[in-house]
Amino acid sequence: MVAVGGLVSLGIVVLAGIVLGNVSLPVSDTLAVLGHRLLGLPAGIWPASTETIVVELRLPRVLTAMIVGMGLAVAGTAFQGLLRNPLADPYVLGTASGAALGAAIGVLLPIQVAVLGFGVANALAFCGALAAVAVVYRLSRGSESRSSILLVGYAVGSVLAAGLATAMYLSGDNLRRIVAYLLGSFANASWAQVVVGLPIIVLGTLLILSRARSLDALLLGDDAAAHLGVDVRRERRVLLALAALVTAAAVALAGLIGFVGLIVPHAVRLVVGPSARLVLPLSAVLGAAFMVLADLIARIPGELPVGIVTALIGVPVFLVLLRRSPGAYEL
Amino acid sequence: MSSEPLPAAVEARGVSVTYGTRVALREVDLRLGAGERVCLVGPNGAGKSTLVRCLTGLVTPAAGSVMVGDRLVSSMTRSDVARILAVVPGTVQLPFAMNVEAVVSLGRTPYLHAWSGPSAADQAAVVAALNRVGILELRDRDVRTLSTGERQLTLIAMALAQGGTVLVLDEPTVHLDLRHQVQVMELLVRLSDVEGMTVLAVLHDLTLASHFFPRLAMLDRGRMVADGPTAAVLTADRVREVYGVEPRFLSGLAAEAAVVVEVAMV
Repeated sequence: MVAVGGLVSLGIVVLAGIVLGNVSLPVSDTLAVLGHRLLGLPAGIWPASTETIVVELRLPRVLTAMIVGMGLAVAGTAFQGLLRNPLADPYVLGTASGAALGAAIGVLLPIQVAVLGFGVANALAFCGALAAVAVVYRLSRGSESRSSILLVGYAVGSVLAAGLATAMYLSGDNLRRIVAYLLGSFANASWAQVVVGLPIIVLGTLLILSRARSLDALLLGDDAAAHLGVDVRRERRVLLALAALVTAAAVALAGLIGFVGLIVPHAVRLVVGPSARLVLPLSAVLGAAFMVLADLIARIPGELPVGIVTALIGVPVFLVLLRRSPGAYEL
Repeated sequence: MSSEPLPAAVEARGVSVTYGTRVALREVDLRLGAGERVCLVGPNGAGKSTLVRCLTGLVTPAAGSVMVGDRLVSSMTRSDVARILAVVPGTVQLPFAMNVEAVVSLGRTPYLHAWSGPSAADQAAVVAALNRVGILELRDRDVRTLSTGERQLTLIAMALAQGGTVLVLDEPTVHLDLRHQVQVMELLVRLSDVEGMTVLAVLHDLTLASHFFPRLAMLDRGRMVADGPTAAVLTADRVREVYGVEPRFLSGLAAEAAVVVEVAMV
């Protein structure tokens, strides 16, 4: 029932995300265009501008918001489960600082080329996020405790943040572009980006979903999970890699959008309990819907950074949920 | 015991483990015949937990070997081990909004596939495990509302849901009141005597150990100092030497073996 509700609300916000904007389109024309282009229904009569806006502008933007929201929410669920820490989010192991530093360097580099809609900044953000997690994983290997990987993640993140601060300090006129990246946006979404980003995020998400049983067993702790048949070391390595990959793709597409990966999994757990078998798919749906909605709200006043919207709206909603939830709440 | 030895369910041969420079286990042998009920005792730091971790394959010994069934545990996957041997965790907290049935269902983890949910066989195994432990009526209870004793029974049911033949319990009675201690012990007796499961329990309470276990294995400073019928292992001299306390025994009670009822520092 929760799943149906989630899918219905996703459908509604997706339609709203396509219809509403600078130029609002009639719902009937929009549905007709979508039916024509996606399902091969016979073409009707609608203004050519409607088709251009739907197909070239709104659809790629909404799709990008969907996959980024889905990816961040699923990666957040995985990180929280793996680290058994309710404060974990997709950015916890240095991915945010790594991506931000990469993007800042990309903005400042004198050579600017774009392939498939991805500039140097996008590419370096992707690499920076993955490199940061790889370094954190290497440095914390051999230690069994979860706190140590969190502490190493914090340390590496702090060093990278210092690098980012340096880049921003030296950036001069480019500072605005770096800040815009840090706050996240879907204004530059394009079909090319969807074509590259969607397979990575969808595949990564599906692979994480396929390991839900390991995350469930890990609820009881490492030893108990091992006794339940989970190869804890291997599962942790694989899940960390997948969650980092999905996060890196998401930040390369849209910049650093906060709170979605932290709050959506918790909101889902408050409703359905901690079982990853339920939390992962529902977080995927809710994350996608929430991100499309946040982007829609960000567009109304004229391109506010979407990261501001996710915080301003997501956090109060989450706090209300938390207060209403019966009893103590644990991961 | 009969002259024909039982086939081994779990067997450690010459197992040694060192942590850094500290020797945790020194050439320890322990053979659990199929269907046996054995209690592992010894003072803190004797190596009981390390031995249990070797038997379940979580620790690879520096020397020696461990067999589970007829295979080396080091050659088995975690799922292989989990389908034969279940461990009841000693001190797991269950702070989640899950019901008892969902926690017991975690015992089916070694049988689950990537995409399908629990099968009918999995669900039947969960209900059977709840029944064997006698907590079917708790199945819909939120685990956060359980008493310590009920939580322990839930964890035992989870282990039974794994469908194995060997049950290992690390201090299953710690924090339990007397009634729940006896309830858990009687459950273990039934599981081994009636259902033929092999049971190994680590206990600190020598009275419970002597009352409910026909065989004791005693570790002291990484060595197996005694292994055999409870009455033969639990002598005043050995308790004095290993634990450094003066035991006083009462015999002639319901139990065959002597019961340690009162102790004083040596």
